[in-house]
Amino acid sequence: MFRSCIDGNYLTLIVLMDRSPKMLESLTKHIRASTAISLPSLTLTRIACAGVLLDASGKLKVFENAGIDGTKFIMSRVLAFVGRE
Amino acid sequence: MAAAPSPPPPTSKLHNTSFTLTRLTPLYSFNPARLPHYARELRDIVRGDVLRGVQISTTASDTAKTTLVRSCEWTIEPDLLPTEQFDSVMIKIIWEDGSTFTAFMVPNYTTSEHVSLGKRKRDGDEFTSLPLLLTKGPQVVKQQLINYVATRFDSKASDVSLPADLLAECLQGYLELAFRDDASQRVIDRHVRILELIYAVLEPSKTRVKGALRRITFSLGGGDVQELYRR
Repeated sequence: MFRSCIDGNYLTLIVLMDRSPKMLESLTKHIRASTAISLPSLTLTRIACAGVLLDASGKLKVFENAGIDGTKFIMSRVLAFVGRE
Repeated sequence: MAAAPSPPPPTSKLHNTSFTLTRLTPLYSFNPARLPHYARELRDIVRGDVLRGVQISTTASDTAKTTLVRSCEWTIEPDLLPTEQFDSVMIKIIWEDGSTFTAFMVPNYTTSEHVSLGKRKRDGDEFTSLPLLLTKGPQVVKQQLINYVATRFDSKASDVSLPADLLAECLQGYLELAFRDDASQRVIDRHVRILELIYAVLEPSKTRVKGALRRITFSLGGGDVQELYRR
């Protein structure tokens, strides 16, 4: 779905930018570089929902919605990680 | 006779607050009986006062907080996570303008090695392990606290970067709790509602062209998340 969306944008850009070959070439490079995506090249950096927000940069927010079980679980995983490093 | 209302679910002081995570090596010669003393020392540092004849901060303008510190407290927090038996250290600074700085030093309660801070430690046990420092408040005060802990307790602090596999593990475990068989739709909605996943796009290594795409955000409704989870 994502790739088709990007491809769609790419085609739109080609249509829009065909009067400026240099810019089109530059944009094409950017888009090719951007769309050369396979799943392993994506890194999960944040999860956020109604109960918890965890960011790879070391931010943590646990909402009341997580309940005490959810809070304990998240804290136990983070503590185990911090403790073993 | 009407049924008694069910008691509200237990909450934690961690709830609804965004914390920055820092890792601490074990604290040397940390004495829970001296918490008021530590609080005074930190307060003097944050205020920019002179401590033992030494100017702690160079100028008042190098700190983000120019208002007066109303209080600085270090306390034992035995109930950070209800039903878990461990003691944390809570550090709270309040300024005259009402703003606050909050920090928790948390032991690794998932192991059996953590000590109860309120009890007398064994002879010769000079180190106290409180590996996780959670901070919420001005960055400059966080750095002052870290510097204080590093020098006072001979500890080393480092930023925590959470790897993708840990985030995935947390998400999986959290969803397992949210989608337990006995969980009602209302509970599921409360736990998840919308799930947002952000992926960073790694730079391709074999090209000199820098990718313009930095990250991709997926937003999934709670119902879709549940459906995907059940498959």
